[in-house]
Amino acid sequence: MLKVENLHVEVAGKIILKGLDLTISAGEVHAIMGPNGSGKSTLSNVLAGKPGYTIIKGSISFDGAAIDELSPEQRARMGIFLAFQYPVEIPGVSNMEFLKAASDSIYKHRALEPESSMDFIKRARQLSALVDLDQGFLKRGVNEGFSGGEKKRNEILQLLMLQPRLAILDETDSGLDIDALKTVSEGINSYKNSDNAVLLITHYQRLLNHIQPDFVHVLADGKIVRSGDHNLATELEAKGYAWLTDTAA
Amino acid sequence: MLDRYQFIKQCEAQYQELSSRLPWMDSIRSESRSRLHAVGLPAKNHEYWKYSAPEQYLFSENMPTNSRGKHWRCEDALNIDMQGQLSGDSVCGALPDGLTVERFSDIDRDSSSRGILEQHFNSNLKNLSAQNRYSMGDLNTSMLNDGVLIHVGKGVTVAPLLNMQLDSSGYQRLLVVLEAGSSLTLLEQLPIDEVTGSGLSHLVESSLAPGANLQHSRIQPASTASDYALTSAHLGASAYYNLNLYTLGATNRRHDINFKLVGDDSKVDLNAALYADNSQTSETLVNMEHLGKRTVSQQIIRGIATSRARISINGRIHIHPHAQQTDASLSNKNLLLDNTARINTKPELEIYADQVKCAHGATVGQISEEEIFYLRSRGIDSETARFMIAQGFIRSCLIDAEFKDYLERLFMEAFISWEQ
Ligand SMILES: Nc1ncnc2c1ncn2[C@@H]1O[C@H](COP(=O)(O)OP(=O)(O)OP(=O)(O)O)[C@@H](O)[C@H]1O
Ligand SMILES: [Mg+2]
Repeated sequence: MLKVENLHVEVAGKIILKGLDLTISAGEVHAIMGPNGSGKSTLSNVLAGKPGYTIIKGSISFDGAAIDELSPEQRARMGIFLAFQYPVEIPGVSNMEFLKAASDSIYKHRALEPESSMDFIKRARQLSALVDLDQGFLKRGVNEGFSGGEKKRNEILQLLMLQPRLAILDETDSGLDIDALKTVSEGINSYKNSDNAVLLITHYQRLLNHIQPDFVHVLADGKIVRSGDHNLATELEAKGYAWLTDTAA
Repeated sequence: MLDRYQFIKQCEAQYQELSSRLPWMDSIRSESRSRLHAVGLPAKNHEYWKYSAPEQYLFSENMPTNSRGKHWRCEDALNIDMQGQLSGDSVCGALPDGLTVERFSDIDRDSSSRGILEQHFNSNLKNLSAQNRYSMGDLNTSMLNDGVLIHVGKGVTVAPLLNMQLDSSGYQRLLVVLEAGSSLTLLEQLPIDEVTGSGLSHLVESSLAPGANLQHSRIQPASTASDYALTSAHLGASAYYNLNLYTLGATNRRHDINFKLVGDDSKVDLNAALYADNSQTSETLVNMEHLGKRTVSQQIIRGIATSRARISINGRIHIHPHAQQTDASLSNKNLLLDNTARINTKPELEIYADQVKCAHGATVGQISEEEIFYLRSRGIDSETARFMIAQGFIRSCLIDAEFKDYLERLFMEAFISWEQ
């Protein structure tokens, strides 16, 4: 589904990703771990098409087609979804209005009639209950005045509403309390199926107890320095990153 | 537009004609006129007029206009026109006890309203008008031939909304007097006068006795005319004034606001949403004067400009020497929707007391790229994203729950019609 090859990315005159390879197939869950500043969010932003990131070498393809040149909205419509590490607040634009506009644009791309407002609202209510957000959050401005944990749950609500093909979750577990972590994990598990894929970026083994990854990668200094199965996460939890980055150096 | 010389000549002629109207006002008018002679008409070289075109607000006649009748009407309100008349669709056939709404010219010589009028009319303004900044106030007074008095008796709470629908231009005047412990919710709607394009000079003078509570909202629809408004209020001890302004652009629009928090523990909340497009100018000047102890003022001002429009905001907080434990804040956030629009904002602080809390902040920004990316990352194209964020910003400035839908329609109509 996603194939990243030898990716080199420059941001603000600085090379952040330095030859990254990653292949994700449908039905898989991948986890990326790695030290602060190693380039995890940079990778998620580049995949989502954020302006300001220059691919100086390498390529990204999605379902066999190169997407390097596509706008963020085109990628989103193809099914790439990024749950942000720091979701922004958009005052006055209601969550519901925002989600409907997003969903309509995706339906349109697939040449489908947009979902009726009634069905949409019904679905939004059910799913907001699933992520433990009161219905009032649907009417509020996007993330406006939401607590850190509420913002993260709102990202999962969007994931469930939009049903993308590839979900990139950038530290969605950071800042969640124990119950919220469980709720969010359940949300992600309910999204998961054999046709879609998940890329989890996390610092904590804890999340991986709830969502079993098929692959765990370590990103250090702009490159994947080690890949393994879920046991790698346990090992990292015990040993930290130094042993890997040292051998990498 | 007249030149100054013609203007003064015509004013003099008009002034002579006025002398037969409301004889009790004669001495007040003549006082205003002498002050005007002494202080002079506003001029561009004056500090507080440098963003304005003062000539735009000088007109010598009271002209009726054809309001297009698009005012917000509410079945549960007391709908009042500028003749002071209650219209048929109001909640009740008569005004509730303790509330008086009367045209100055209908007030009898021996009535109690007459006493109120003589006590309060021009009393705030007289104190302001030594400053050239407010000389438009004296111009209004010297040209005035009528106005409306709103009076709420001691301890009276007027439950329904008083919905004043201004439907003419020229020199207009509202005097609001709230006796001790009374409360009133007032909505003022300025005319939609695209038809005649004539000017408006609108003055609202309020006097709040101790413990009085005034909720006052003003809707200024888009207009191709020029209008000037002056709102001045005097607050007694523990009085509360909440002013909410919803202002769309006019060819020229200026609003001077002066609050005097005289009584101890009095409080003002001022919220303003200002929108302008298509080379319009919109100027709001606030002067929040803290005189009593433990007085509180909070100003939240939001400006949105596009397409060569110009918005100017001057927020001044003046804490007088005895106003200890004042708590004053001013927050002004502005959004430029393109790079041809301009927003000038200037907070001014003058503090003469030492135990005070005073916070102010002003920003002028463009739509954030982070917000646009957030929407785009969900499939929304960048033009739509920009539009939604701008709409959201406007919407988040419209806080009056009761007529929020109407306000949203009004602002969105202006915004959308301009964007398309
Ligand atoms: N716009 C930018 N301008 C300058 N430097 C940037 C920019 N974006 C990212 N960087 C730098 O790139 C490096 C990688 O940042 P990134 O956010 O991808 O790290 P991360 O792995 O997600 O870290 P964390 O675990 O703390 O979230 C950092 O050194 C960061 O300062
Ligand atoms: Mg990060």
